[in-house]
Amino acid sequence: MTYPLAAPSNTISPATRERLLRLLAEYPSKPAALLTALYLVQAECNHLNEAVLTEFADIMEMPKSVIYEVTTFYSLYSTKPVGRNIIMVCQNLCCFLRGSDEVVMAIARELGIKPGETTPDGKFTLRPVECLAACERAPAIQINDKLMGPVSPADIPGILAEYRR
Amino acid sequence: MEITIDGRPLTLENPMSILEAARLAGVDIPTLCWHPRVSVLGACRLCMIEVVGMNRLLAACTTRVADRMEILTDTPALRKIRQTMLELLLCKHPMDCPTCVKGGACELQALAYKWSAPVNRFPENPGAYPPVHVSPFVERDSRKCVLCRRCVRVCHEVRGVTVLGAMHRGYLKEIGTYFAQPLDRDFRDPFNCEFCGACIDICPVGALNSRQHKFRARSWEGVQVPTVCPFCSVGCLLSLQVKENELVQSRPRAGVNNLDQVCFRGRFAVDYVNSAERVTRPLLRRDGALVPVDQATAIAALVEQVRPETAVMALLSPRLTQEETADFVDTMAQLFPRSDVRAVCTMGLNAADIPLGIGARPWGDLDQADLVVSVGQDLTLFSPVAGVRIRTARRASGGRLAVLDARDTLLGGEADLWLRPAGAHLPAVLAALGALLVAEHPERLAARPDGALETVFAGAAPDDVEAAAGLAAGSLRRLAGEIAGAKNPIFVANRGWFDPSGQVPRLLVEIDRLLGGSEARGIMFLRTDCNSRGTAELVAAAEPEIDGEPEVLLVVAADPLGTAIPGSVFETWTRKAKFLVVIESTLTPTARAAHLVLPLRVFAEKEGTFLAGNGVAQQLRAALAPPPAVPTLRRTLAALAAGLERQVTFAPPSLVRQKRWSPPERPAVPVPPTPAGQARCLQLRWSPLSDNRVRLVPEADRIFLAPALEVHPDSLAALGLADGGAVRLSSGPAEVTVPVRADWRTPPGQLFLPLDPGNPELAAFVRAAVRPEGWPLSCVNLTGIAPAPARE
Amino acid sequence: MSAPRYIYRDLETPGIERLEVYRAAGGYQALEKVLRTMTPPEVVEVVKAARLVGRGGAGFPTGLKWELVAREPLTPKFVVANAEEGEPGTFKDLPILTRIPHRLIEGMLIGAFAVGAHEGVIVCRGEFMEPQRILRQAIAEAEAAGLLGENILGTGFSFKLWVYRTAGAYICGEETSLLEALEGKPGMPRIRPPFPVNAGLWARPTALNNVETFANVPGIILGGAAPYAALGTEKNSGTKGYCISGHVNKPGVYEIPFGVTLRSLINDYAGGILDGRAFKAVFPGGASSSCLTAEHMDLPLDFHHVAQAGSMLGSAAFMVVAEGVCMVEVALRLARFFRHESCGKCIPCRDGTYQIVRLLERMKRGEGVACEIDDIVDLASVMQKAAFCGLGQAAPNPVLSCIRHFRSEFEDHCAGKPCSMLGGGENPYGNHH
Repeated sequence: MTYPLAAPSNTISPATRERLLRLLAEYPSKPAALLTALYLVQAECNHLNEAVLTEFADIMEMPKSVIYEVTTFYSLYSTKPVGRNIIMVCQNLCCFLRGSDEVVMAIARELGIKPGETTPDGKFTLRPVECLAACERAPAIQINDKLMGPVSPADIPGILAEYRR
Repeated sequence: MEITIDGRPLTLENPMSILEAARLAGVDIPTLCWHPRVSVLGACRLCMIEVVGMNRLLAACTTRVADRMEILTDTPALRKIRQTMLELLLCKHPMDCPTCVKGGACELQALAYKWSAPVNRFPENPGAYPPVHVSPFVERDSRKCVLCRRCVRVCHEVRGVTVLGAMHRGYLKEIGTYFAQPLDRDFRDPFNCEFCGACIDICPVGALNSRQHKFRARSWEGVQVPTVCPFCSVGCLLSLQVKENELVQSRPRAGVNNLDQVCFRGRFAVDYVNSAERVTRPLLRRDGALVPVDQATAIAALVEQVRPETAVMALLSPRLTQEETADFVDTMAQLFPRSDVRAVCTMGLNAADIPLGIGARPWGDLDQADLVVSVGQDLTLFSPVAGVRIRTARRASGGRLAVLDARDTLLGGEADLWLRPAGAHLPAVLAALGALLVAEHPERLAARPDGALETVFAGAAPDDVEAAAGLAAGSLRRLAGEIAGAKNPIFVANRGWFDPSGQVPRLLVEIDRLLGGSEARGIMFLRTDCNSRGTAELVAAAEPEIDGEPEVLLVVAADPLGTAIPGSVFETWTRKAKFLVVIESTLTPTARAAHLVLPLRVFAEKEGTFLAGNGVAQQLRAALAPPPAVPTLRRTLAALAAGLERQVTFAPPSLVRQKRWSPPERPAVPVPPTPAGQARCLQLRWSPLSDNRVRLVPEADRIFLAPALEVHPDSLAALGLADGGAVRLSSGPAEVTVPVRADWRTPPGQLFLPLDPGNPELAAFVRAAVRPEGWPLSCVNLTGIAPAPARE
Repeated sequence: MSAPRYIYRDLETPGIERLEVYRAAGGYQALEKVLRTMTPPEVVEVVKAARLVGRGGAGFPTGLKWELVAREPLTPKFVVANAEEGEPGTFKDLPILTRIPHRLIEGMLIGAFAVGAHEGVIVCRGEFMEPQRILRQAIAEAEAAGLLGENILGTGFSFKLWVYRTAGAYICGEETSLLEALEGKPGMPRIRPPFPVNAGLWARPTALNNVETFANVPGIILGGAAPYAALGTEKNSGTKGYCISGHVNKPGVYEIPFGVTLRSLINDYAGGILDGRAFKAVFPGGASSSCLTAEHMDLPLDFHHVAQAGSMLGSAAFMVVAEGVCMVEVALRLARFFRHESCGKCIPCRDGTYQIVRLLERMKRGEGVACEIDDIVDLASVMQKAAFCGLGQAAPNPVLSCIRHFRSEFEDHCAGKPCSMLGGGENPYGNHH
């Protein structure tokens, strides 16, 4: 998956469909490729809404209920629009002990949104998460595919500036 | 294995779960998520047990018994767990038991009554989920759901529908549908609700309910009458709940043919007996209109038309019980020696012309099959429970499945091999299959083809047939290989309009005989009506040969004008009869065209016998008292005899049960027609909606769709058609305009039209356009005439 | 601090993630030794003799697991590495994945040879984007060098390895859930038996081990079983990657032979408690373990002794809490984790984690009543006995232990007393779930 994510789309482009078919050919069965294929589609369509997943189910030749079960089970898939940059802030114990609440609030202030929300311009989604497996770098955050830590509230404007461009 | 359960010794021969062992021993271990019909989940933890010597507790449903296990099922620790599990469920459960549909029949109530402690440490106002999702027949209430996932499993594993799923995760988990769509949202989707109601039956609480039943009666009110489904030939057993002489609910009960399943028709469509369109008195045509008359007047009107030497024609339906059929056949023979009684099935085809040497085998045989070959058209649409039997047998046996069915009825997608020839090509396909078996797998054959069969198989060129039927090259060879490689293949077939002369079952019987020789046990054959087999045993299967107009035609419980292909023999007779008498329970299109209508009891008002397609005799019980002026068929016949100043003797029960007529064991197999190409050929398919009984049920058209040209979504553009638009069909001088529907069940490149013969415009088109010998497959020109309206 | 390192050896060597550097440091010599001089049963014997046990937390003997898979007649067999590292406090695999990926690949190759598998998968948690990139690159390098693929090192042994990304669910660290995810389903635990060694991925025999377990193997093969077995304690051999985080000066992962004391781990390795504060509690095995207090400072840290102290070593993820932190909030954070990560299959875990969070939140708001503390304890004991899988059975541990050791803080919150400790007030931004 490449970042930043695409802007929301309601349809799977021919190019993505092509890549999807190539991907499916690498797997022993279509269901086995489901998680990977969902990532592929999400990267292009921003999120997995009904229109997109309906098209996707056609390609996968799988029951839509099964695809929806999987999509809603895993927290890295979203059925609602998300920002093109995803900011994950760990809020579990180790990061909490080292001040993650202040980091969350600093990001929220900087972006003018509440935790869990997406900025109106669609650039950022702030997502408090349970654990990034980086407790020694607490408080840790991950923006898209990049893990950072420890970060302090003072670092936030500088970090975000890089992604604002 | 020697084990003890609560100190009771038990010897077990077969491996099983502790729960199953306990049930054998009669020990009650509470369960919620466990159900015998579906796979084991282990989610509710109510069945936790202790094994002496083990330091942890085990779930009885997921743990196998081992030798010398000492099992305790009711200890303080276990009680504590059960109490807590129930407390965790009840604290979020709406306590509207007094108005809940499941009240009194709720498993959670029963479990709470037996195992709960009267405390609730986690009181909460339920209402976290949107309250109710509705669809025409099924109602969901997520707040009451205990997440046992029995509905999800039955929908997926037993019915193959997979419309329900367990969505989201953890404490947000909710049983639901794709994006919480209502169940009737989109019939173009392959995995869409078929309203079989299996989820309603299996739901332990009030989370899934029948809307039809809701607020008509509490579970314990009225009486439950065991009877038999009056629709297809599978022979599902029903339990009818009757309150104050009203049928308030139909549910399946366990039977040898249906396990514990039923389909939309057995559950919801039987509600037709409550319809206001019941014929409750004789109706006589006067000045062009049918007017109610008393029985004496009605009989007198009939008597006026007949003399003993009149060649009375009669069409009787396999919806009649075995007893009614015998009475009718006997009466005709005694009153009118020149009478001619024919059996006509719900599709308007001859119901008695199928070889009887087939299909008298139990569904349980499928459990031993290493290959099931399902052949026909819309097989699981006509007989959904047959699909259940194939699917569940396969889950248990791990056998393979081959499907020869143009339409996607879910079985195709589950099959190891799926060929989709148009129905009209099926006889040729089967002949080619026989030819391949003979030529390439001689070692597998127990008999050689002989007689007519020799010619049939010798004349079949598999490659040509594949090409004509649009099958992939080599696919028939693969199928022949599958069949030759199977030790115990079983063929299941149904009959459709595509096969007016019954070639498909005949050829399959012969292929089965080639493979099995004298050991061959026959194919399983599905017919359209509940007593098809019984009717075929009592009524001769003369080929239709009468030309012209019958003087007097008696139609009993059949509806040729509503359900037979316009232009077909029985439809033409009915239309042209000089005096048409219809004995019927509801006002069918045929009844509306009659000169005289005599009332008939519905299945729920009868005692008698249905012979299911596989020969199992099952008893109907009268659940309802009929309207006062609706006599038994025997009384109507006796009144007719009296009107003629004659007497008739009715056969005693022993004779009714006796097979009176059977065709030759080895019928001649006609040479299948050379297949025509399938481009622009229109296949008419029969819809259960043309059955008047189904049409009487409000919103049944949400399940079985109204006539439209059905095209695979991927084929629309190439044909210049648009989903939701319209198309002009023309063939010679005949023309008709019908809507266009993108339909996933239709194979790419084929065209289907579910026909409602009761629709006069369509009937006129079919009558004029369709060559009589080519009913199922006729060439038409298509002109797309309207764009699709924008969707949403 | 001078004990030999098996897992993180060469961690500091620049460029060790590259094949040439790894080989220059002696990498893939164990594989060569195995493929050229040993039989699969001999490999199993060495691993058994080294007394290597699984590092995922359950502590199952690795040699025995491989032997069980090797013994299965059904083929194909699979080797799967569990890189679903996601338990709060655990970050021991990340350095292996990002810095020494070839050690994991080498360990998996040796495992595959031992069990007779020709295909393997590294199952990574979805958030691990960079590690996956590095792993894929390492696999490509190894393939190019003939260390993966057909006819490896000309010995005729073949092994195909790929990386699979799951999509954000802690439960996928549970081995059968991981297999479900790998098959493209929601990661919900399977009924056992059958066990993965008999019927795992695609119902085939599967050797499923933790990343760290595999990383131990090359060193054991090269150095022999005896020196490895001699390390550690009577009960647990070898070294362990001890993660330590929270209120310590030098959080990190330290490879130490089993048996180091808690005091030594905190003071000698992690540089003592942050800012010289007083020690309050430690969760030794991540979020699913019970906390230990000052009385356990001299506890030797191996599976056996930590279990005897009423907790569990798990993946050796030490989360240190200093004085001045509200233990109700600590319990709530960990309880929320399990509520979020419960798969929702069984009642005790799904509804139990939900109710515990609900009651703790009530306490935090000052709405709780004292008897609800006992309600939590009672509910927790049922969850431990009745939950379907390890997640639900362990979920109440941290909460229960916080109540056991710091009950007065819970009572104070129930009584509505203001709490000035860290996290004692309301969560500043609410609960996002």
